[in-house]
Amino acid sequence: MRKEEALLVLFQAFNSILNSNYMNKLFILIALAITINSCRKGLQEELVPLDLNVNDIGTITVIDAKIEKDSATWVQISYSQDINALFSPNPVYEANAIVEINDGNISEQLVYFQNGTYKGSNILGQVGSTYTINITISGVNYSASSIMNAPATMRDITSNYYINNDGKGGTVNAYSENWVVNDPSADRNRYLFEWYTNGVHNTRIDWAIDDNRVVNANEGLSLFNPQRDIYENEHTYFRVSEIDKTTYDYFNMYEKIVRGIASAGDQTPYNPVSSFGIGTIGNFRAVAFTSYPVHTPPSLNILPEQDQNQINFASNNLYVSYNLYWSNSPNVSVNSNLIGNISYSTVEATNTFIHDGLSSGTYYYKIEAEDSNGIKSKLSQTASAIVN
Amino acid sequence: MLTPDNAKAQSVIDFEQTKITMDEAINQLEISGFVLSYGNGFDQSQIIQLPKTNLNANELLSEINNQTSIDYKINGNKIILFQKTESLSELKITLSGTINDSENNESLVGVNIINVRDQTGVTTNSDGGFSISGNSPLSVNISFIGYTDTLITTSINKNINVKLKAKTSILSEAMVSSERPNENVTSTEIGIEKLNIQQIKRIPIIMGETDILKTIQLLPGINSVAEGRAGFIVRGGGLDQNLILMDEMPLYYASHMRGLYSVFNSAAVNEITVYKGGVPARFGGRSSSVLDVKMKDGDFTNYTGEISFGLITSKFSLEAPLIEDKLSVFIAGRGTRWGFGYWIDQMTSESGGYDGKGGGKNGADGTTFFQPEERWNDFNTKIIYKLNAKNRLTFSGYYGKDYAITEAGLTNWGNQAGHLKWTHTFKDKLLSNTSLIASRYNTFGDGGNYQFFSGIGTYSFKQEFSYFPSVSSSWRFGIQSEYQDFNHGSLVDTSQDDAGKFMPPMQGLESALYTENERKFTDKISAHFGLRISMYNRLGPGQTTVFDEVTNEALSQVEYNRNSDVMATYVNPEPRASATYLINSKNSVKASYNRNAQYLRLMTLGSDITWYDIWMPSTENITPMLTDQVALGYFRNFLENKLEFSTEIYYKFQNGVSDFEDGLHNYLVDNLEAYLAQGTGRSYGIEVSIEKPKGDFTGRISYNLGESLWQIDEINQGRAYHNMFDITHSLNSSFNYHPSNVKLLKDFTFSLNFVYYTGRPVTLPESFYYIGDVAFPYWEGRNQYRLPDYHRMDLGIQFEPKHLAFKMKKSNRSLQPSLDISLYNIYGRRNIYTIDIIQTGGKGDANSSSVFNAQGRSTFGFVPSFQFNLKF
Repeated sequence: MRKEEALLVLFQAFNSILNSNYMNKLFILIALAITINSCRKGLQEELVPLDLNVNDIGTITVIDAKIEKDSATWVQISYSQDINALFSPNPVYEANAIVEINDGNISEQLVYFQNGTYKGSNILGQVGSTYTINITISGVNYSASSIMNAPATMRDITSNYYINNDGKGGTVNAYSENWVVNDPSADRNRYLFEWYTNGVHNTRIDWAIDDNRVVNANEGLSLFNPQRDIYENEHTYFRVSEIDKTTYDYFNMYEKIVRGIASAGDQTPYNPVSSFGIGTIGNFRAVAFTSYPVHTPPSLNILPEQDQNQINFASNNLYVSYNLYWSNSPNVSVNSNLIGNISYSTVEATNTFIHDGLSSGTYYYKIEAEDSNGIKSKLSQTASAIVN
Repeated sequence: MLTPDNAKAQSVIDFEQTKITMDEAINQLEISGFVLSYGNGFDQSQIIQLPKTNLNANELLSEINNQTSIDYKINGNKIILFQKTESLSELKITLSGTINDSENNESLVGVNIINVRDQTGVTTNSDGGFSISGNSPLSVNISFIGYTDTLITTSINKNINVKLKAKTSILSEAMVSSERPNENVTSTEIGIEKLNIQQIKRIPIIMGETDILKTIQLLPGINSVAEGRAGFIVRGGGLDQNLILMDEMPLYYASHMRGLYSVFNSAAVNEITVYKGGVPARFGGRSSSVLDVKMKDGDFTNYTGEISFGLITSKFSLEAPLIEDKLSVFIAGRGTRWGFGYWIDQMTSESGGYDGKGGGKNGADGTTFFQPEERWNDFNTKIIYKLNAKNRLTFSGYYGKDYAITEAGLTNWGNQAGHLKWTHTFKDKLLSNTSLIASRYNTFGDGGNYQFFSGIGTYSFKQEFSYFPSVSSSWRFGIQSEYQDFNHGSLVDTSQDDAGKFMPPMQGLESALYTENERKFTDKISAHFGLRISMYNRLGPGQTTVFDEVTNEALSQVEYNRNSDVMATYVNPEPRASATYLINSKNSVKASYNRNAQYLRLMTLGSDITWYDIWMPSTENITPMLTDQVALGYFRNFLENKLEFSTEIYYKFQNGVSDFEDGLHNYLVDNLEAYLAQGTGRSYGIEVSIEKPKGDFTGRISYNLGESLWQIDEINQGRAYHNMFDITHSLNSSFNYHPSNVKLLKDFTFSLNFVYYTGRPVTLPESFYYIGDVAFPYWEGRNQYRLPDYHRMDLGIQFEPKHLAFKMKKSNRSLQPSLDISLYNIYGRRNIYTIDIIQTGGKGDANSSSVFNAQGRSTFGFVPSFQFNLKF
């Protein structure tokens, strides 16, 4: 027996390639394939589920409270749970607290509503006022104050159509945003953005920004990382308010948790600074929002038929009217021919509109959506069809 | 009492007759295993009449002494013969010169030159130079691990060039002692680990490399910070507390490819020394350790080189004596683009590169060797020009670059460094080194509209002198000054006309004066003293800022506009001392005290150490970190120096350790400085090591028990906490077996590593709460918990078939092929380097009963790889 053959095949790869029989060659090829495959797999990062064996630290009181401009006070009180507690859809709420709001002149006791929430009615938020909230739970007092700053304003809101991946191999019509808030450079400012899509507050996309995070020469603060795109046919409002540092920290943490950025491996993970003091979690904010609409139109799908075009588009019940424009040239605008203001109720039934009595030629269309306040979306992309 | 050495002198030598010549006597002594040294001054044909035909060496030498004018001195297996008149001489003479490898003429560093008569000695400096004095005739033994001993005797002042021969691997340990066998016991060094090229070659080959960083992580008291992450922990000290030098060039990020490879190309490494304590005064600026890596000098006589093709990387190296004995060039390079894996990825991938979302192109089975755009390469060079016997110019250079897609988008980072050195010998006793060194580390991230930059650059001048006034004392003194510039990260928004800078750039000047003295007081007591006086200046332009302690917002600022403006100054004397008390030739006790001032710090936000962590200088708000370390060690050899045992205890007290306050999410703020909180730290522990350094089977097992705590008022409610580098238990072991006497296996070398250590501290949430419908984790304190324990075993097999070496007819040289197979993490344990807390419950995840779940991230599983090498 030759020396090489006496050794394990892995060891002899070098020799055997130079001089070996078919079986050896096959064996080497298999060993090589296994090695290459294992090496590939071994180099991949892997996620490993772990148990969280941590200390029991008791419960913490959690207070979320706010007063908005021209609105009454709202407070929610709940308790923390053990990190390994079984999932239940509702937190543990506090229903027996005494909650008071004071605007510097008068006080009002809030009324318990449900799910740990308490509501006021008489004191409405005003810019420039300082509000103090006092809460008593089982004889323990918690207190926090906040000043309502003037509403922040936006300097530039633009959105541009583009085709995005839908994450499933297909595409989706979307709009990229470029939003710039007016940011007086003399002060250190922080802002809170809230996003309402089709009438629903996307709390998971609330986003706080500190002007220190982006320095800009022309005193505009660009909101450069919205959490999601606006899609077509969406009735969108977003609101912006100036906030104090405590509220900023609170929402910044909130945002990081929601986005899954806060890792327990962080050396500096933190509980947001509580406006109600040590041993509590919570925030009280007096905030004045300015709202801005960013409505998007549906996209059009045209089916040419004899002497007419069948026009299909999706509808949205927050739009009262869809305005359809057409032209024989590709440059369709609001100055082009208006087919008509198609009401939501008309569209809802069929999602279809027939443009008839057409002579032969190419027809181009665009659509805009309009809400009940008369706020219009931008025009959709052009769609066209040839009528024979 | 018979010592083993004396036993040799007692062993019997047989002669055929009782009348012999001096020549025959010398021959027989050499055959019996003695190393002889003698001048040419005596007649070797003179006759000696022996009393009997079998007598031991002592008896023989005694006869020679009686019958001739020759006297002798015997020490162990070394015998010096000299004229009797010479022995009376009290004339002091000096032997100086350089020591080189006989094959490639590379200078050898750390070679022991011992005066055989009184056992005093010196070691060669970083250029292979030495100078030793003693009474005439001066007889010195030159020894170096991996090389055969050489004895030199002289009666006059002499400057010589000694060429040491490398031991061939077939020699067994019994035949040649490569260094003083009890070197570890007798040297003054404590807390120092030294490996030369011959020892490095015995380190297990993993991923086709004898990886320097992985190697030092097998030494006692040194641990990896995390698998797949750059950097190492020395005695509970942070990553930034290690000074990493490549030919004296500081490097700021020492890894490639998620930490799988170090920046040190093993083909380019000549010697590594790690100072864990007892740091000489010539090093400064870091608190915990110095990793001093000396790169290879090019060969001055032969063209040699190596080409390797591997699964993950390929590499080459070439040593070119462009002008023989005058100008030598060494170049080496490595890269993933030349590896098989890259080409397999190319062949099996779908078309197109980076898909823009962090996702990658996949192979047929869904995996690739490299993550999208992940690649790296590096290059080393060393050019040596010998102007004349007294002057030499050396240029060392390094360029390295990594590319990957990370959270910051498409990114790259890397070190570049260069070092120009002029070595001059004034007199035989005075050497000078003059250096200009530049080093840069840059990061770049491209996240679409936003581009991120950060970097550190250092430019330094060094002047050092070595002086050898007498045998029992040597001096080293010097001055160095380093200009540092810091770009702490800036973000360029390409969609806007203005670039946003976050923390403003900073500049600093770190200077030092130092002196070292090594002294032997008696045969039993020797010591090393050092004093370093360091100074740090923060330089303009910039602002000094007073921050509000609670809100961290700037209260007032002072502008400094000129480059020459000094914004803050710190001066620190740093005394260093170590001493050895030799109980006997097998036992010694050593102690050291060290003070180190550190003016830079690497700020890490998470437990996940990344390439974009930021280097931060001392400012008027951030004071330097001062570390006092005391260490006490006991060294003992067993079984005729076959086993070396050592144990050391250490205690470190640190003032000015820094960590980020709670609540900093990213570096991109202009008041980063204000988020940095400072306090005190202490680390202590005990290290135990057993090593078998010689023979076919070599190995080392070491264990460390330690604790490292920080106390910072602003963090963890002021309570002391384990810092992220605290490792309680660590067990490192590595074994190497080269069965040179087993016929079938003599071309193989097998190696095995096993590493175990306690997981590093992490912060984990204990509770959670809801705000609206969003659940938040709640953390009670910092670093209260630990990552799972780390352990891993690697196997390496090297196959170097000597019979396949291909002889080249013309040049009388050969091409030697070899194959390296390495099995990294052989049982495929997925070690965790960071923990993510993910919210699963309440989101429709049927498998999860709780709201939050912990998920560990693991970098590598079982990674087998191979590499073909061709040496010429």
